[in-house]
Amino acid sequence: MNRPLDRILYAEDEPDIQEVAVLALETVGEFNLKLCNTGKEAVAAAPEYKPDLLLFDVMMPEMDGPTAFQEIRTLPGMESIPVIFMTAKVQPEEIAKYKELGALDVIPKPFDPMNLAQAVRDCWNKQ
Amino acid sequence: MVEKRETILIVDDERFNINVLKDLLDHDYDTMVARNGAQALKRVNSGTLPDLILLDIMMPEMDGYEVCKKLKEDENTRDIPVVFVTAMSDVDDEMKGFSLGAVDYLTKPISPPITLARIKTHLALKNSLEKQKELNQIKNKFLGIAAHDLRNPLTSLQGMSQLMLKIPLPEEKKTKFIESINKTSNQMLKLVNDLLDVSVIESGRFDLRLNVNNLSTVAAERAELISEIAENKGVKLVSNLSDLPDSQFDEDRICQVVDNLLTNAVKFSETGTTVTLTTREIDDKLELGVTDQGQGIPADEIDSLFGAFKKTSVKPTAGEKSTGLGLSIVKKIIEAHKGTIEVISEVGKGSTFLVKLNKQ
Repeated sequence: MNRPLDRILYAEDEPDIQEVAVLALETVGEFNLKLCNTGKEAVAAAPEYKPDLLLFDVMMPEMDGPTAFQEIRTLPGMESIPVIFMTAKVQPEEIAKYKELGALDVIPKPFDPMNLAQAVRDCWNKQ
Repeated sequence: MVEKRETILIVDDERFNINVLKDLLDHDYDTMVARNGAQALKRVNSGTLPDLILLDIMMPEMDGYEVCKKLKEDENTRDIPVVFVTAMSDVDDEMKGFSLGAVDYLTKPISPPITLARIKTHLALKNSLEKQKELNQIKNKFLGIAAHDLRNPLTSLQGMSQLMLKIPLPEEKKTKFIESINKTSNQMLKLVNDLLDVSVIESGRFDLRLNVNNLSTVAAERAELISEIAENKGVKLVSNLSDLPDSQFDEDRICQVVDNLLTNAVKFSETGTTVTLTTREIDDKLELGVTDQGQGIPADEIDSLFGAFKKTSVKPTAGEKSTGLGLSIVKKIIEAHKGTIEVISEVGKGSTFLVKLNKQ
Protein backbone atom coordinates (compact mmCIF):
# COMPACT_ATOMS: atom_id res chain seq x y z
CA MET A 1 0.00 0.00 0.00
CA ASN A 2 1.28 3.43 -0.91
CA ARG A 3 1.46 6.34 1.45
CA PRO A 4 -1.65 8.50 1.05
CA LEU A 5 -1.70 10.98 -1.81
CA ASP A 6 -1.53 14.60 -0.67
CA ARG A 7 0.31 17.07 -2.90
CA ILE A 8 -0.67 17.40 -6.55
CA LEU A 9 1.05 19.63 -9.09
CA TYR A 10 -1.65 20.45 -11.62
CA ALA A 11 -1.02 22.08 -15.01
CA GLU A 12 -3.79 23.28 -17.34
CA ASP A 13 -3.91 26.33 -19.62
CA GLU A 14 -7.68 26.73 -19.93
CA PRO A 15 -8.99 29.05 -17.16
CA ASP A 16 -12.51 27.55 -17.11
CA ILE A 17 -11.20 24.01 -16.80
CA GLN A 18 -8.78 25.17 -14.08
CA GLU A 19 -11.76 26.49 -12.08
CA VAL A 20 -13.60 23.19 -12.34
CA ALA A 21 -10.59 21.01 -11.55
CA VAL A 22 -9.43 23.16 -8.63
CA LEU A 23 -12.85 22.87 -6.97
CA ALA A 24 -12.96 19.17 -7.78
CA LEU A 25 -9.54 18.47 -6.27
CA GLU A 26 -9.29 20.99 -3.41
CA THR A 27 -12.89 21.31 -2.24
CA VAL A 28 -14.32 17.92 -3.16
CA GLY A 29 -11.08 15.90 -2.94
CA GLU A 30 -9.32 17.79 -0.12
CA PHE A 31 -5.94 17.57 -1.80
CA ASN A 32 -3.12 20.06 -1.54
CA LEU A 33 -2.93 21.60 -4.98
CA LYS A 34 -0.47 23.78 -6.86
CA LEU A 35 -1.90 25.18 -10.08
CA CYS A 36 0.28 26.06 -13.10
CA ASN A 37 -0.80 27.59 -16.40
CA THR A 38 1.75 25.89 -18.63
CA GLY A 39 4.15 22.97 -18.69
CA LYS A 40 7.01 25.40 -18.29
CA GLU A 41 5.53 26.82 -15.08
CA ALA A 42 5.09 23.30 -13.79
CA VAL A 43 8.75 22.43 -14.41
CA ALA A 44 9.77 25.61 -12.56
CA ALA A 45 7.44 24.95 -9.63
CA ALA A 46 8.18 21.25 -9.12
CA PRO A 47 11.46 21.40 -7.08
CA GLU A 48 10.06 23.71 -4.41
CA TYR A 49 6.54 22.28 -4.24
CA LYS A 50 7.75 18.66 -4.05
CA PRO A 51 4.54 17.06 -5.34
CA ASP A 52 3.54 13.44 -4.79
CA LEU A 53 1.86 13.38 -8.19
CA LEU A 54 1.76 15.35 -11.43
CA LEU A 55 -1.64 15.91 -13.04
CA PHE A 56 -1.05 17.42 -16.48
CA ASP A 57 -3.17 18.55 -19.37
CA VAL A 58 -1.58 17.31 -22.61
CA MET A 59 -1.88 20.28 -24.94
CA MET A 60 -0.58 23.52 -23.47
CA PRO A 61 1.22 26.47 -25.05
CA GLU A 62 4.99 26.89 -24.57
CA MET A 63 5.48 23.36 -23.26
CA ASP A 64 3.01 20.49 -23.44
CA GLY A 65 2.25 18.08 -20.60
CA PRO A 66 4.32 15.11 -21.82
CA THR A 67 7.42 17.28 -22.36
CA ALA A 68 7.03 18.90 -18.94
CA PHE A 69 6.68 15.46 -17.35
CA GLN A 70 9.85 14.23 -19.05
CA GLU A 71 11.77 17.32 -17.93
CA ILE A 72 10.60 16.97 -14.34
CA ARG A 73 11.74 13.34 -14.31
CA THR A 74 15.31 14.55 -14.96
CA LEU A 75 15.27 16.68 -11.77
CA PRO A 76 17.04 15.30 -8.68
CA GLY A 77 14.67 13.35 -6.44
CA MET A 78 11.93 13.23 -9.09
CA GLU A 79 13.25 10.38 -11.21
CA SER A 80 10.19 8.26 -10.59
CA ILE A 81 7.45 10.82 -9.88
CA PRO A 82 4.12 9.51 -11.21
CA VAL A 83 2.00 11.41 -13.72
CA ILE A 84 -1.62 11.30 -14.81
CA PHE A 85 -2.51 13.04 -18.07
CA MET A 86 -5.85 14.70 -18.74
CA THR A 87 -6.81 15.04 -22.36
CA ALA A 88 -9.58 15.45 -24.89
CA LYS A 89 -7.56 13.29 -27.28
CA VAL A 90 -9.03 9.99 -26.30
CA GLN A 91 -8.41 7.78 -29.32
CA PRO A 92 -6.87 4.46 -28.23
CA GLU A 93 -3.54 5.15 -29.98
CA GLU A 94 -3.25 8.48 -28.13
CA ILE A 95 -3.89 6.87 -24.77
CA ALA A 96 -1.40 4.08 -25.53
CA LYS A 97 1.21 6.71 -26.40
CA TYR A 98 0.87 8.46 -23.02
CA LYS A 99 0.96 5.17 -21.12
CA GLU A 100 4.12 4.26 -22.98
CA LEU A 101 5.65 7.53 -21.76
CA GLY A 102 5.10 6.22 -18.24
CA ALA A 103 1.73 7.72 -17.29
CA LEU A 104 -0.14 5.98 -14.44
CA ASP A 105 -3.31 6.60 -16.38
CA VAL A 106 -5.11 9.01 -18.67
CA ILE A 107 -8.26 10.81 -17.55
CA PRO A 108 -10.42 11.78 -20.52
CA LYS A 109 -12.07 15.18 -20.85
CA PRO A 110 -14.80 15.97 -20.11
CA PHE A 111 -14.39 14.57 -16.58
CA ASP A 112 -16.98 14.53 -13.80
CA PRO A 113 -15.79 17.01 -11.13
CA MET A 114 -17.55 15.04 -8.41
CA ASN A 115 -15.55 11.90 -9.30
CA LEU A 116 -12.23 13.40 -10.38
CA ALA A 117 -10.57 13.20 -6.94
CA GLN A 118 -11.63 9.56 -6.53
CA ALA A 119 -10.39 8.71 -10.03
CA VAL A 120 -7.01 10.27 -9.21
CA ARG A 121 -6.86 8.44 -5.87
CA ASP A 122 -7.70 5.12 -7.56
CA CYS A 123 -4.84 5.62 -10.02
CA TRP A 124 -2.50 6.42 -7.15
CA ASN A 125 -3.52 3.34 -5.15
CA LYS A 126 -3.15 0.86 -7.98
CA GLN A 127 0.52 1.82 -8.58
CA MET B 1 -0.97 19.39 -65.74
CA VAL B 2 0.02 16.17 -67.49
CA GLU B 3 -2.23 13.36 -66.41
CA LYS B 4 -0.42 10.30 -65.13
CA ARG B 5 -0.66 7.41 -67.59
CA GLU B 6 -2.15 4.31 -66.10
CA THR B 7 -0.23 1.05 -66.12
CA ILE B 8 -1.68 -2.25 -67.26
CA LEU B 9 -0.01 -5.60 -66.59
CA ILE B 10 -0.53 -8.19 -69.35
CA VAL B 11 -0.07 -11.79 -68.19
CA ASP B 12 0.01 -14.40 -70.96
CA ASP B 13 2.33 -17.26 -71.90
CA GLU B 14 1.95 -16.71 -75.64
CA ARG B 15 3.97 -14.01 -77.33
CA PHE B 16 1.30 -13.52 -80.04
CA ASN B 17 -1.47 -12.75 -77.51
CA ILE B 18 0.77 -10.34 -75.68
CA ASN B 19 1.55 -8.48 -78.88
CA VAL B 20 -2.13 -8.14 -79.81
CA LEU B 21 -2.92 -6.58 -76.42
CA LYS B 22 0.20 -4.40 -76.38
CA ASP B 23 -0.61 -2.98 -79.82
CA LEU B 24 -4.09 -2.20 -78.63
CA LEU B 25 -3.08 -0.57 -75.34
CA ASP B 26 0.28 1.12 -75.93
CA HIS B 27 -1.28 4.28 -77.31
CA ASP B 28 -3.23 5.12 -74.14
CA TYR B 29 -1.52 3.18 -71.39
CA ASP B 30 1.85 2.08 -70.07
CA THR B 31 2.10 -1.68 -70.27
CA MET B 32 4.08 -4.28 -68.34
CA VAL B 33 4.34 -7.92 -69.39
CA ALA B 34 4.65 -11.20 -67.51
CA ARG B 35 5.02 -14.55 -69.30
CA ASN B 36 3.74 -16.75 -66.45
CA GLY B 37 1.99 -16.62 -63.09
CA ALA B 38 5.11 -16.53 -60.94
CA GLN B 39 6.54 -13.67 -62.99
CA ALA B 40 3.24 -11.78 -62.70
CA LEU B 41 3.24 -12.01 -58.89
CA LYS B 42 6.89 -10.98 -58.81
CA ARG B 43 6.28 -7.95 -61.01
CA VAL B 44 3.30 -6.87 -58.94
CA ASN B 45 5.21 -7.17 -55.68
CA SER B 46 8.30 -5.27 -56.80
CA GLY B 47 7.98 -1.59 -57.53
CA THR B 48 4.97 0.00 -59.21
CA LEU B 49 1.58 -1.56 -58.73
CA PRO B 50 -0.31 -1.82 -62.03
CA ASP B 51 -3.70 -0.12 -62.21
CA LEU B 52 -5.28 -3.13 -63.90
CA ILE B 53 -4.26 -6.70 -64.76
CA LEU B 54 -5.22 -8.61 -67.94
CA LEU B 55 -4.82 -12.23 -66.94
CA ASP B 56 -4.76 -15.33 -69.16
CA ILE B 57 -6.15 -18.45 -67.52
CA MET B 58 -4.41 -21.38 -69.16
CA MET B 59 -0.73 -21.06 -68.38
CA PRO B 60 1.77 -23.76 -67.39
CA GLU B 61 2.74 -24.26 -63.71
CA MET B 62 0.44 -21.66 -62.16
CA ASP B 63 -2.83 -20.94 -63.95
CA GLY B 64 -4.64 -17.59 -64.01
CA TYR B 65 -7.15 -18.65 -61.34
CA GLU B 66 -4.31 -19.36 -58.92
CA VAL B 67 -2.64 -16.01 -59.71
CA CYS B 68 -5.94 -14.18 -59.15
CA LYS B 69 -6.49 -15.98 -55.84
CA LYS B 70 -3.02 -14.98 -54.63
CA LEU B 71 -3.51 -11.37 -55.72
CA LYS B 72 -6.79 -11.15 -53.82
CA GLU B 73 -5.24 -12.64 -50.67
CA ASP B 74 -2.57 -9.97 -50.49
CA GLU B 75 -3.66 -6.70 -48.92
CA ASN B 76 -1.35 -4.68 -51.19
CA THR B 77 -2.69 -6.12 -54.43
CA ARG B 78 -6.29 -6.88 -53.44
CA ASP B 79 -7.73 -3.72 -54.97
CA ILE B 80 -6.14 -4.05 -58.42
CA PRO B 81 -8.93 -4.95 -60.85
CA VAL B 82 -8.29 -8.28 -62.59
CA VAL B 83 -9.79 -8.96 -66.05
CA PHE B 84 -9.50 -12.52 -67.31
CA VAL B 85 -8.68 -12.82 -71.01
CA THR B 86 -9.15 -16.40 -72.19
CA ALA B 87 -10.27 -18.79 -74.88
CA MET B 88 -12.28 -20.70 -72.27
CA SER B 89 -15.83 -19.55 -72.88
CA ASP B 90 -17.71 -22.03 -70.70
CA VAL B 91 -20.13 -20.42 -68.22
CA ASP B 92 -18.59 -22.38 -65.34
CA ASP B 93 -15.11 -21.11 -66.22
CA GLU B 94 -16.40 -17.59 -66.39
CA MET B 95 -18.23 -17.90 -63.06
CA LYS B 96 -15.13 -19.34 -61.42
CA GLY B 97 -13.25 -16.22 -62.55
CA PHE B 98 -15.84 -13.90 -61.03
CA SER B 99 -16.03 -15.89 -57.81
CA LEU B 100 -12.28 -15.44 -57.37
CA GLY B 101 -12.75 -11.68 -57.41
CA ALA B 102 -12.17 -10.77 -61.08
CA VAL B 103 -14.08 -7.72 -62.30
CA ASP B 104 -14.54 -8.92 -65.89
CA TYR B 105 -14.03 -11.79 -68.30
CA LEU B 106 -13.08 -11.33 -71.95
CA THR B 107 -13.17 -14.19 -74.43
CA LYS B 108 -10.53 -14.60 -77.11
CA PRO B 109 -10.49 -13.63 -79.89
CA ILE B 110 -11.07 -10.25 -78.24
CA SER B 111 -12.87 -7.34 -79.86
CA PRO B 112 -10.50 -4.36 -79.71
CA PRO B 113 -13.09 -1.58 -79.17
CA ILE B 114 -15.02 -3.59 -76.56
CA THR B 115 -11.79 -4.48 -74.74
CA LEU B 116 -10.73 -0.83 -74.65
CA ALA B 117 -14.15 0.29 -73.48
CA ARG B 118 -14.25 -2.26 -70.67
CA ILE B 119 -10.73 -1.42 -69.51
CA LYS B 120 -11.66 2.24 -69.44
CA THR B 121 -14.76 1.51 -67.36
CA HIS B 122 -12.88 -0.62 -64.85
CA LEU B 123 -10.13 1.96 -64.46
CA ALA B 124 -12.72 4.70 -63.90
CA LEU B 125 -14.43 2.56 -61.25
CA LYS B 126 -11.13 1.85 -59.54
CA ASN B 127 -10.22 5.54 -59.49
CA SER B 128 -13.54 6.57 -58.07
CA LEU B 129 -13.23 3.90 -55.38
CA GLU B 130 -9.77 5.14 -54.47
CA LYS B 131 -11.02 8.70 -54.33
CA GLN B 132 -13.83 7.64 -52.02
CA LYS B 133 -11.43 5.86 -49.71
CA GLU B 134 -9.25 8.93 -49.56
CA LEU B 135 -12.24 11.20 -48.82
CA ASN B 136 -13.38 8.81 -46.15
CA GLN B 137 -9.99 9.01 -44.47
CA ILE B 138 -10.10 12.81 -44.58
CA LYS B 139 -13.62 12.73 -43.14
CA ASN B 140 -12.57 10.46 -40.28
CA LYS B 141 -9.62 12.67 -39.45
CA PHE B 142 -11.92 15.68 -39.56
CA LEU B 143 -14.41 14.04 -37.21
CA GLY B 144 -11.60 13.16 -34.82
CA ILE B 145 -10.42 16.75 -34.64
CA ALA B 146 -13.96 18.10 -34.33
CA ALA B 147 -14.71 15.68 -31.49
CA HIS B 148 -11.58 16.81 -29.69
CA ASP B 149 -12.38 20.50 -30.17
CA LEU B 150 -15.87 19.95 -28.75
CA ARG B 151 -14.66 17.90 -25.77
CA ASN B 152 -12.61 20.72 -24.29
CA PRO B 153 -15.43 23.28 -24.00
CA LEU B 154 -17.75 20.50 -22.83
CA THR B 155 -15.38 19.97 -19.91
CA SER B 156 -16.14 23.43 -18.58
CA LEU B 157 -19.88 23.32 -19.43
CA GLN B 158 -20.42 19.97 -17.78
CA GLY B 159 -18.02 20.59 -14.92
CA MET B 160 -19.39 23.99 -13.93
CA SER B 161 -23.03 22.98 -14.09
CA GLN B 162 -22.32 19.77 -12.17
CA LEU B 163 -20.49 21.66 -9.40
CA MET B 164 -23.31 24.23 -9.13
CA LEU B 165 -25.79 21.38 -8.66
CA LYS B 166 -23.73 19.33 -6.23
CA ILE B 167 -21.79 21.62 -3.90
CA PRO B 168 -22.54 24.94 -2.20
CA LEU B 169 -20.81 27.80 -4.00
CA PRO B 170 -20.70 31.53 -3.22
CA GLU B 171 -23.09 33.61 -5.34
CA GLU B 172 -20.17 35.39 -6.95
CA LYS B 173 -18.73 32.09 -8.17
CA LYS B 174 -22.10 30.96 -9.48
CA THR B 175 -22.46 34.14 -11.54
CA LYS B 176 -18.98 33.68 -12.92
CA PHE B 177 -19.78 30.09 -13.87
CA ILE B 178 -23.01 31.09 -15.61
CA GLU B 179 -21.12 33.72 -17.61
CA SER B 180 -18.54 31.13 -18.59
CA ILE B 181 -21.20 28.61 -19.56
CA ASN B 182 -22.85 31.24 -21.74
CA LYS B 183 -19.59 32.26 -23.39
CA THR B 184 -18.49 28.67 -23.96
CA SER B 185 -21.81 27.58 -25.45
CA ASN B 186 -21.56 30.49 -27.92
CA GLN B 187 -18.09 29.32 -28.94
CA MET B 188 -19.37 25.80 -29.42
CA LEU B 189 -22.20 27.10 -31.56
CA LYS B 190 -19.65 28.93 -33.70
CA LEU B 191 -17.68 25.71 -34.13
CA VAL B 192 -20.81 23.72 -35.01
CA ASN B 193 -21.86 26.38 -37.55
CA ASP B 194 -18.39 26.42 -39.09
CA LEU B 195 -18.43 22.62 -39.32
CA LEU B 196 -21.78 22.72 -41.09
CA ASP B 197 -20.42 25.37 -43.44
CA VAL B 198 -17.41 23.24 -44.26
CA SER B 199 -19.60 20.21 -44.92
CA VAL B 200 -21.91 22.20 -47.21
CA ILE B 201 -18.94 23.65 -49.08
CA GLU B 202 -17.14 20.31 -49.38
CA SER B 203 -20.24 18.48 -50.57
CA GLY B 204 -20.37 20.72 -53.64
CA ARG B 205 -23.90 21.89 -52.75
CA PHE B 206 -22.49 25.36 -52.24
CA ASP B 207 -24.67 27.71 -54.27
CA LEU B 208 -23.94 31.38 -54.34
CA ARG B 209 -26.87 33.78 -54.35
CA LEU B 210 -25.47 36.46 -56.59
CA ASN B 211 -27.02 39.90 -56.41
CA VAL B 212 -25.94 43.41 -57.28
CA ASN B 213 -24.19 44.79 -54.20
CA ASN B 214 -21.54 47.28 -53.27
CA LEU B 215 -18.37 45.95 -51.65
CA SER B 216 -17.58 49.21 -49.83
CA THR B 217 -21.12 49.46 -48.44
CA VAL B 218 -20.96 45.89 -47.14
CA ALA B 219 -17.47 46.48 -45.73
CA ALA B 220 -18.64 49.63 -43.90
CA GLU B 221 -21.59 47.79 -42.30
CA ARG B 222 -19.44 44.91 -41.09
CA ALA B 223 -16.74 47.26 -39.77
CA GLU B 224 -19.33 49.05 -37.67
CA LEU B 225 -20.50 45.79 -36.10
CA ILE B 226 -16.99 44.59 -35.37
CA SER B 227 -15.71 47.95 -34.10
CA GLU B 228 -17.44 47.18 -30.79
CA ILE B 229 -15.42 43.98 -30.30
CA ALA B 230 -12.28 45.91 -31.28
CA GLU B 231 -13.04 48.77 -28.88
CA ASN B 232 -13.58 46.34 -26.00
CA LYS B 233 -10.07 45.10 -26.58
CA GLY B 234 -8.56 48.57 -27.05
CA VAL B 235 -7.86 47.96 -30.73
CA LYS B 236 -8.59 50.81 -33.15
CA LEU B 237 -10.50 49.85 -36.29
CA VAL B 238 -9.93 52.29 -39.16
CA SER B 239 -11.86 52.09 -42.44
CA ASN B 240 -10.39 53.47 -45.60
CA LEU B 241 -13.07 52.72 -48.20
CA SER B 242 -13.10 53.92 -51.82
CA ASP B 243 -16.14 54.69 -53.91
CA LEU B 244 -16.60 51.43 -55.75
CA PRO B 245 -18.89 50.49 -58.64
CA ASP B 246 -21.62 47.96 -57.82
CA SER B 247 -20.79 44.35 -58.53
CA GLN B 248 -22.32 40.89 -58.30
CA PHE B 249 -21.66 38.83 -55.20
CA ASP B 250 -23.40 36.79 -52.52
CA GLU B 251 -23.90 39.37 -49.79
CA ASP B 252 -24.24 36.94 -46.86
CA ARG B 253 -21.13 35.04 -47.86
CA ILE B 254 -19.02 38.15 -48.44
CA CYS B 255 -20.20 39.49 -45.06
CA GLN B 256 -18.92 36.23 -43.60
CA VAL B 257 -15.54 36.82 -45.28
CA VAL B 258 -15.24 40.41 -44.00
CA ASP B 259 -16.36 39.36 -40.49
CA ASN B 260 -13.84 36.55 -40.40
CA LEU B 261 -10.94 38.68 -41.57
CA LEU B 262 -11.78 41.54 -39.20
CA THR B 263 -12.37 39.38 -36.12
CA ASN B 264 -9.18 37.47 -36.88
CA ALA B 265 -7.24 40.73 -37.14
CA VAL B 266 -8.64 41.94 -33.80
CA LYS B 267 -8.08 38.56 -32.18
CA PHE B 268 -4.38 38.58 -33.06
CA SER B 269 -3.81 42.28 -32.22
CA GLU B 270 -2.49 43.76 -28.99
CA THR B 271 -4.26 46.58 -27.18
CA GLY B 272 -3.23 49.97 -28.55
CA THR B 273 -2.68 48.78 -32.13
CA THR B 274 -4.73 49.52 -35.24
CA VAL B 275 -6.60 47.32 -37.70
CA THR B 276 -7.18 48.92 -41.10
CA LEU B 277 -9.92 47.93 -43.54
CA THR B 278 -9.49 49.18 -47.11
CA THR B 279 -11.29 48.79 -50.42
CA ARG B 280 -10.13 49.97 -53.82
CA GLU B 281 -10.52 49.40 -57.53
CA ILE B 282 -7.56 47.99 -59.46
CA ASP B 283 -8.07 47.44 -63.19
CA ASP B 284 -10.88 44.91 -63.55
CA LYS B 285 -10.77 43.86 -59.89
CA LEU B 286 -12.20 45.09 -56.62
CA GLU B 287 -9.83 44.66 -53.72
CA LEU B 288 -10.60 44.41 -50.01
CA GLY B 289 -7.70 44.49 -47.56
CA VAL B 290 -7.46 43.92 -43.81
CA THR B 291 -4.17 44.94 -42.19
CA ASP B 292 -3.18 44.44 -38.58
CA GLN B 293 -0.15 45.36 -36.48
CA GLY B 294 -0.15 41.98 -34.79
CA GLN B 295 2.46 39.29 -34.40
CA GLY B 296 2.70 38.32 -38.06
CA ILE B 297 2.72 34.78 -39.43
CA PRO B 298 5.98 32.84 -39.93
CA ALA B 299 6.68 32.31 -43.65
CA ASP B 300 6.62 28.51 -43.40
CA GLU B 301 3.12 28.55 -41.93
CA ILE B 302 1.51 30.80 -44.57
CA ASP B 303 0.83 27.89 -46.94
CA SER B 304 -1.13 25.90 -44.39
CA LEU B 305 -3.07 28.95 -43.17
CA PHE B 306 -6.12 28.21 -45.31
CA GLY B 307 -6.37 24.47 -44.58
CA ALA B 308 -9.17 23.17 -42.34
CA PHE B 309 -8.16 22.97 -38.66
CA LYS B 310 -4.77 24.44 -39.47
CA LYS B 311 -4.05 26.63 -36.48
CA THR B 312 -0.68 28.35 -36.64
CA SER B 313 1.84 28.84 -33.84
CA VAL B 314 0.53 32.42 -33.54
CA LYS B 315 -1.98 32.67 -30.70
CA PRO B 316 -4.83 35.13 -30.00
CA THR B 317 -3.61 37.87 -27.68
CA ALA B 318 -6.39 37.81 -25.07
CA GLY B 319 -7.18 34.10 -24.84
CA GLU B 320 -9.82 34.25 -27.60
CA LYS B 321 -10.80 31.01 -29.26
CA SER B 322 -10.27 29.98 -32.84
CA THR B 323 -11.85 26.98 -34.53
CA GLY B 324 -9.15 26.73 -37.18
CA LEU B 325 -11.92 26.66 -39.78
CA GLY B 326 -12.58 30.34 -40.46
CA LEU B 327 -9.90 30.95 -43.07
CA SER B 328 -10.56 27.68 -44.89
CA ILE B 329 -14.21 28.77 -45.24
CA VAL B 330 -13.14 32.27 -46.34
CA LYS B 331 -10.94 30.81 -49.06
CA LYS B 332 -13.72 28.55 -50.37
CA ILE B 333 -16.15 31.47 -50.51
CA ILE B 334 -13.67 33.62 -52.41
CA GLU B 335 -12.89 30.79 -54.81
CA ALA B 336 -16.58 30.20 -55.43
CA HIS B 337 -16.72 33.87 -56.49
CA LYS B 338 -13.74 33.17 -58.81
CA GLY B 339 -11.69 35.60 -56.74
CA THR B 340 -8.35 35.26 -54.97
CA ILE B 341 -7.02 35.77 -51.46
CA GLU B 342 -3.41 36.37 -50.51
CA VAL B 343 -1.47 37.13 -47.34
CA ILE B 344 1.47 39.44 -46.88
CA SER B 345 2.97 39.04 -43.45
CA GLU B 346 6.07 39.93 -41.52
CA VAL B 347 6.75 38.45 -38.11
CA GLY B 348 6.70 41.19 -35.47
CA LYS B 349 5.12 43.76 -37.80
CA GLY B 350 1.73 42.38 -38.80
CA SER B 351 -0.26 40.84 -41.62
CA THR B 352 -2.38 41.99 -44.55
CA PHE B 353 -5.08 39.80 -46.08
CA LEU B 354 -5.99 40.89 -49.62
CA VAL B 355 -9.16 39.68 -51.31
CA LYS B 356 -9.63 40.35 -55.02
CA LEU B 357 -13.03 39.95 -56.66
CA ASN B 358 -14.05 40.41 -60.26
CA LYS B 359 -15.80 43.67 -61.08
CA GLN B 360 -18.71 42.40 -63.15
